[in-house]
Amino acid sequence: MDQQAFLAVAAIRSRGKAAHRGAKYLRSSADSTDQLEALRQLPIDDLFVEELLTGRLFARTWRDVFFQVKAPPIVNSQRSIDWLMSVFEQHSDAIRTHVALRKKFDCAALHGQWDAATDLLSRHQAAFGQSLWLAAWHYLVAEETNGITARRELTQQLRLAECGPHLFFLAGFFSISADKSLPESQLRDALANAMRAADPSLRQLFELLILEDFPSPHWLASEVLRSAEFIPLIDRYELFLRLATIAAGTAHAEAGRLAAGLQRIKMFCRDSRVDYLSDTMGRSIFYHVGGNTQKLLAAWDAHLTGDYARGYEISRNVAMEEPDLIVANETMVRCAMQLHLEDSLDGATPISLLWQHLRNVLAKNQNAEDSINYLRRLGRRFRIFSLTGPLRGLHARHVASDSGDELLRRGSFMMGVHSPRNFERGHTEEVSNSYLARCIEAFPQSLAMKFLRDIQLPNSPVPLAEFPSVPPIRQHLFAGLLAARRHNDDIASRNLNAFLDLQKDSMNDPLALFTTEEARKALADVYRRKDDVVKMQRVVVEAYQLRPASIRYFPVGRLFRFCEDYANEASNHIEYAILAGLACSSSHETSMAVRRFLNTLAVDRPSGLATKDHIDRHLLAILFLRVCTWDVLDSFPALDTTSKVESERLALLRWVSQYDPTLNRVAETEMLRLTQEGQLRDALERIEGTRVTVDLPGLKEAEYARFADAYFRFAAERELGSQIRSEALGTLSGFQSATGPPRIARRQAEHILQGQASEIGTFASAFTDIRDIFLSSPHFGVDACLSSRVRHGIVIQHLRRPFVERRLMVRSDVPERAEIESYWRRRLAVSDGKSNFKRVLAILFRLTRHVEAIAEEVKNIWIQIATESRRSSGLFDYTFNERQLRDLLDNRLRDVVDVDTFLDAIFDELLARTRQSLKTVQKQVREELLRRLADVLDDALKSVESLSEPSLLPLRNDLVSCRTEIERTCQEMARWFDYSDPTLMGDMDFHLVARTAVGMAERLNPDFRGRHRIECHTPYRLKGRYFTALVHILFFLLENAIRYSSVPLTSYQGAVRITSEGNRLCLGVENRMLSDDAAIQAVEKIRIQLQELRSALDPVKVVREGGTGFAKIIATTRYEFKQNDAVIEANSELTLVSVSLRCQVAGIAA
Amino acid sequence: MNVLIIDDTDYKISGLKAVLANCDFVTEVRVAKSFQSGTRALRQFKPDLVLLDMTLPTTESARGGADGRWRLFGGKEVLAEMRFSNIAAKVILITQFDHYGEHPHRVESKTLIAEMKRDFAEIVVGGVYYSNIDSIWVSRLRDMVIAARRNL
Repeated sequence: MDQQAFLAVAAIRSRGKAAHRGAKYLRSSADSTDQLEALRQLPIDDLFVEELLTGRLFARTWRDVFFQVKAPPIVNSQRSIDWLMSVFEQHSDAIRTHVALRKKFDCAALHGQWDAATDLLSRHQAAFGQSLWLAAWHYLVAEETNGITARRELTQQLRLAECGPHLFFLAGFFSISADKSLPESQLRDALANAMRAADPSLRQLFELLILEDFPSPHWLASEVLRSAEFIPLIDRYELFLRLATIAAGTAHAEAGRLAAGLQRIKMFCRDSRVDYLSDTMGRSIFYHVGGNTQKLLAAWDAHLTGDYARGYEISRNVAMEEPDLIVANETMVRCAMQLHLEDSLDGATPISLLWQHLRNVLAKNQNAEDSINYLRRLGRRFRIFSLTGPLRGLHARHVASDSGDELLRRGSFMMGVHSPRNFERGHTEEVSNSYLARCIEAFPQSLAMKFLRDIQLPNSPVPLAEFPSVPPIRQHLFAGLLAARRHNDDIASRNLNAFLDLQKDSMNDPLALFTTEEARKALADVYRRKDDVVKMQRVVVEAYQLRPASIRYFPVGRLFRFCEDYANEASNHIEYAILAGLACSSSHETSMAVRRFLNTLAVDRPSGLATKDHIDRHLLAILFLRVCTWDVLDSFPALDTTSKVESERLALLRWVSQYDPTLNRVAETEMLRLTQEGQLRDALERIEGTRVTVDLPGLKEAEYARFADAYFRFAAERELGSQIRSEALGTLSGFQSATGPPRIARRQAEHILQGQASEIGTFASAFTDIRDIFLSSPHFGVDACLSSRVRHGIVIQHLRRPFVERRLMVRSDVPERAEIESYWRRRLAVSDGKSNFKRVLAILFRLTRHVEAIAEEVKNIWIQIATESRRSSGLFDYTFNERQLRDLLDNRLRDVVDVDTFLDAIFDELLARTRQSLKTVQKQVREELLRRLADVLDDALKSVESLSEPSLLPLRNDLVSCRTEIERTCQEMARWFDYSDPTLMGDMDFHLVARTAVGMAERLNPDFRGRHRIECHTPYRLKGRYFTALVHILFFLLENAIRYSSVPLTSYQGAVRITSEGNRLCLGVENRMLSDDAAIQAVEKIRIQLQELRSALDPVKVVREGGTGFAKIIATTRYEFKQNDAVIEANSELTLVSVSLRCQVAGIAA
Repeated sequence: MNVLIIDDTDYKISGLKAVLANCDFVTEVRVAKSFQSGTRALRQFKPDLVLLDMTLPTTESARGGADGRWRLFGGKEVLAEMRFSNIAAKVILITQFDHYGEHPHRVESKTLIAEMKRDFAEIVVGGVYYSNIDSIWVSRLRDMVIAARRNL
């Protein structure tokens, strides 16, 4: 030890002022010998030494796991690596023990031996105390044995142990990371969000600890290792290995320094992972040549030459002994597949699952996509150096991703065992060849190594004569793939095409799909480089034809851009259009590409291709089914209406269903869906457009007695009046012939005039009676129609909808306020206490008040009936003055002698008035309502802009979009008041009835979209004329469920159930309430209401606003369905409330 | 100069028409309220200038209301159609939003307009922020219409 080091040690020992300087010297300037000697002389568990020099190497408690040090920072990366290596060397015994325990633990965990694994974790803890390594594995074992509950318990234990915020944060992510089903992207997003505001160096450390990865390439070893001093020795060691692989995989500037560090520690740590990493990062001869590498190379040779039994036996033995070696597992699975020994892969242990998913990936079966994602998750969850990286690389190989090469490179440094293809992908030719050369030097007996070296030599005649045991098909494949990677495109295309030709005859090979895809992917790249766009697009489409999911394996975006560069040539072929469908993220782009292709054949829509016999039928079916979707077709100039698009899509699907047996089921399913959607659209249109209808035949039938009574009263009084008049005239003429006083004659004349006056009075009385019945008949009257189809739960919801959808409606006194307030806080990025936010809320409160007042006015004043007795300001004006009545009487009714003619004439007048009122309402909605809503929004917009706050832009945006939306809202509402006759619809199934009701309810309550289930089990079909009535019955029930369920929006679930039994039909709606008690109370309330209604249905109640709509349901069944014995029932079971209507099938359905 | 307005919002259309009415060189103004009617009018009417909204319905129903799906970037698609059909009219983008879409797909209007100007440099003159509560946009639009006329 030199003098300065000696003094430094003494200064630290004395704990004086010079201690800090001494520590700085030892850490940053002393050579490794002095560092080691100093570390030997100083007590390792002394707090002062830990804080100043080494950090806490062994954590006694969880709180110690993240231990902030005060040691002088080492700014030089080389120095920081040297220091860390010295620390490792000083504790080489501990590292060796850790490596031995870790190896046993990895093996136990992958074999699912959880008791043994837990025991090993306890031994590890006894030896080294707590560590991040231990915490992460505790979570994994908990997840594997008892699931999420066990993970939560673990977190709780850490909380009770007061582990400190940093470890608690990390533990939370270890827990999430251990989750079996959580996708990788979600974990990364969650971490990115959580770490957004964190200190950069801490963020780097945490990313490395949690993801075992760096999202950014900009890091310095000195910074990472400085942060690593906060964690125990074991975790520093594991972190260092990962840092070295990341550096090697990204060709980081500090990779060489890290490799040198590895060289130093490999002499004492006895870690095969370090040996392999050190071998592959360095340039010298291999150190790691014994053990399983030799065995696996023998397995590789056996596999290459088709001796699958031997390959299987060797690789299985290695896989059982070191289950973390991907090369062993993959070779074993390949051999098992060739030998049809797939049963040997069965089991539920992690390693068995690894094999099964590898099998799926290699077989490219229907589970391949799920399996490749499973494997990626497995790699994340099992934090094993030689498993995580290679599995990420495997994932990258099987999905076309931009970061693929980098992941493959990192994976190759983590394989843990040499094999001929470790450095084939993601590396330059030079790196790959250098690795192979060093392998051949180290393993001269390996046939596979030599074969892979020779097969890529330029001008090698394939198949190679020196390797007669390697089948020609395999030789062509390897020669093609390797040449393609070296951009020897002629050799590559020759060999790959030769391989594909040979493969056609051996598609029974279990790996045929996999190898064919590999070959086609390489071939597509070769053709792209050769500018052969036509062949390139053909190869991609052939791959798609063979296995549609394979397209994820191709960089289709890049390939299609290439096609676009040569569009004139490429677009002459159908493959161009298909590739567009596979590559374009925008349906409009796809549409233009398809049209470009169609233009070359002079057709204006895809169905025009059906007559072009030169086009391959299967490709045409793919184009029709997969590419020419609705969203692509609706950009075609020739298909400029929704109905044209629908017809075209249906025509294409019919063609596919007829001509392509492999795709006909998919086509038929979509045809059914489209037809159902079309029906639903028509049904909703019909409901929207027929809100105000007058069913005169129904009205007449229901109210005939009252109508007839009014007429006969009028007729009798008219008759009586006529007799009185003739009597009076007789009297007058008698007096006129005599010489009586003129006063008497005048009296008689007045009497006659009174008779005439009483005639119009009689008519007015009869007309008023009939009009009032026309307006207020419990089910068929205009008011019942306005009440049940416009006012009841509809108009207010409709007007609120654009505001509610954008969370602009909020009152200060409602429970939803908190949710909406937090929504805007989030969107406007408002922190607590910002005064502007209060102003924003005030603007929204004011807006809400105004909109609600307008909606109430529309409902309570505009959409009301005005008559002489009601004197409302309703826009449905049915007031008639004496002159109008006299005109009607004189022109049409004076000589009427039967009820029907009389009624028809009056109905004509009332219908004319209805039409006129509808026009008035439409005008009012389009102009006045729109203006008033727009003014309210403009006012809110001005208020927002006056705050001059850039963060309020999202609110401004939403107000503007709401301003646009209310135009549509008013247009839609105006359409409700189109006059329509109740025309008959065809019979329909009850499913459509249910879907229409749900559609109506969800349109009006956008937050509840997708929260309804439909169950329909009945062979009956509803008669078309009852469609509207039945839809409204279900709509009322759904509205009640939505309005009164009181559960949070996120947990609301409703169901519509329609069943039949014998001649009884049951229509029901179910929903869950907040509690059992709430359900019982709701049912009780409904029963009381029904009891009241059942005794005597009061017509006034039918048209009364609000309420539950039950009166309307009873009126519908009683008057429209003509059933008096229909039953409405309400029941509850725990929190579930169900309300149902039981009625007879006869009459309404068949 | 013939002008085509492709926009589905009535109040905006009225505002734009009022500005064009004060440009004496504008001879005819037509309106299309959807992507389909817009592209049809482009082919048939052959306007010199197009005032183009960004978000459009696909088509219009027989009753005149919006129909088909909403195209968030329908204006961009109209521009692509113009290129596809070699229609050389000048285009002014009209927007009243600060951004389109929501995180993580949110695109600022400024960025979008800049992108359109870059990708369709031969036809896009620029963009104007329409507002119903102020009139700054009026002079900006008029200047842009005049500039477009000069470049015809």
